Amino acid sequence: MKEIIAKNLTKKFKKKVRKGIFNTEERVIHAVKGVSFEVNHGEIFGLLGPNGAGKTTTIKILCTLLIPDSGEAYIHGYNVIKEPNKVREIIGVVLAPDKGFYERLTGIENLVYYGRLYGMNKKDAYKRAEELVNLVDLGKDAYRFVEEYSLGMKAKLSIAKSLIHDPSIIILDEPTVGLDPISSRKIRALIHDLANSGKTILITSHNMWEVENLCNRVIMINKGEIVSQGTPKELKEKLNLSYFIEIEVLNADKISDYETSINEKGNLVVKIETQKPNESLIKVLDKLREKNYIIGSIKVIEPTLEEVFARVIGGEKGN
Amino acid sequence: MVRKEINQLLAILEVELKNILRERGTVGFSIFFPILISLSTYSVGTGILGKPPSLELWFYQLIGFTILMITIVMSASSAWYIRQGLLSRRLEYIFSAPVNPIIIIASISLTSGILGFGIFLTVGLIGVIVTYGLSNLSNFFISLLILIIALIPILGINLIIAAATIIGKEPEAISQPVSAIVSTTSGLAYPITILPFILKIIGESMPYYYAAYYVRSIIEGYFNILSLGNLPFLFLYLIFGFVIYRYFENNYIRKEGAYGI
Repeated sequence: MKEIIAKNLTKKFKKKVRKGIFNTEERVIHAVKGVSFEVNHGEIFGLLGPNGAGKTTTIKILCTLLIPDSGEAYIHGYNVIKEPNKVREIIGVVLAPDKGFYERLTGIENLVYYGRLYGMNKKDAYKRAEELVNLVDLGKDAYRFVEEYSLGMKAKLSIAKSLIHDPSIIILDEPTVGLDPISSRKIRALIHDLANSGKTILITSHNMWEVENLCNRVIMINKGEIVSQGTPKELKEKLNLSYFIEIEVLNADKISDYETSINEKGNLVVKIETQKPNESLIKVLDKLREKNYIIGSIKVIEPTLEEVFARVIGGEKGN
Repeated sequence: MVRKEINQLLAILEVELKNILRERGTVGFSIFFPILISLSTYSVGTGILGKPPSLELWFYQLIGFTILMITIVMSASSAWYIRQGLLSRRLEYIFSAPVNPIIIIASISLTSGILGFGIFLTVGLIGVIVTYGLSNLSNFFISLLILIIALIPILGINLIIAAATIIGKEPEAISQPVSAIVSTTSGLAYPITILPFILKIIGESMPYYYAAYYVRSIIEGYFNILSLGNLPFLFLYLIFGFVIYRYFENNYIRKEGAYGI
């Protein structure tokens, strides 16, 4: 089943820019221009793009916070414009991981509050909040005031907040932004577990590595338009990006047929750039064996989504 | 369905009250302010007349300033709630949950209403005992009930203030003119009869005037049950406020993405 459907969404904002003391000029910003995509049940779907690309505007339309100028969007079959309350009941959102709390309440009080906004009674909301603080690994910190929290703790609490009513669809707008690597890793593991438990997840991020490791499918947005979409693997293949093969040779000082370097152990490393890694690897290994070289290790470095992003977005920008 | 909405209302009410009670200075100030101001004007009156005026005049002002305090706090609280919600981005989370905006504004107004009710109970009790003795206490408790009903239409005005704050982003620019209009035209601090005709009409068409009128007339014993005939008319404010909020929400707030900053 298609849990999220966005059909040709467009959104523009009018902004008044001051020109001199009395004059203002109206500027129209096309935040989203005809964005369409579909997210399947249980999928982790990534929305990628540079700052101002239109990711957050798209997310806000899906969360019912914004009405698009044209186009339609459906969450679990419900129209986000015409049936906002039905949509709100089945989505959990993280719009800014460190924001949205009552700073003078404890983490658990905040969770109970949000649970009750979703229609839970106080007792059930408290029980669910206790489960969630354990799930996100907040432990006893959940009973401290939020004003004492670190960014990582707020991010965890934010995810717990998005899960308080056990939604089937979770929308996360840059959930790991500003977090240290350990906190980011914990959040990623949590997102993975949520997808494994059958939740559908839509995530935006600047972190290409994160998106590559988390998402089943990805769309790249730039200047409000989709510039590329597919699985991370498909995106790499579409662009014919190069793989790098590094072969450590234990009994050679120099091999003239290939580009080489010396690694930290002092051994020679043969480096090959190729778009067909399997064929190239077999060919090179055969050649090296013919000359009785002893192979220490082999490393195949795949192109990253970051390279895809740089190529696609960079290309768009004319770089 | 209603149970869900009551639960939502109680949830917001509970956290807002917790938030306020963690700042006790504000509550203390709100109790002392009407006493202080009414005593000051009473002292000025004593100075001008050369002898203390009737205690009933002090009571008139005490009740007026207390209700003025309550109504201003109620109006400003919705503007400030919205402002803080925008700054903390809490508003985006609240409006991405299935909550009716009238529930949100009602609970915020109710929070300040409860605070105001507490203030009125404390200040009014002192005023009634000092001015009328224990005999008028029963009237005072009846007036409390009427005050609660009379304050409900103010929710409509608070909804309009909330919508305007979401769009305009500045709470003072919206709540202060409202406070100024309320304090000058509602006859809370002085009789509305001394105002120019236009201001008198404005005052009489707003719910604030009636809140003070009902309370004073019940306590002082000149309450006429027929005056409650104005109440249904005042409830039009609630409907009017809700319609205006919905209009702003659908035609401006959700179109412009004004829930965040």
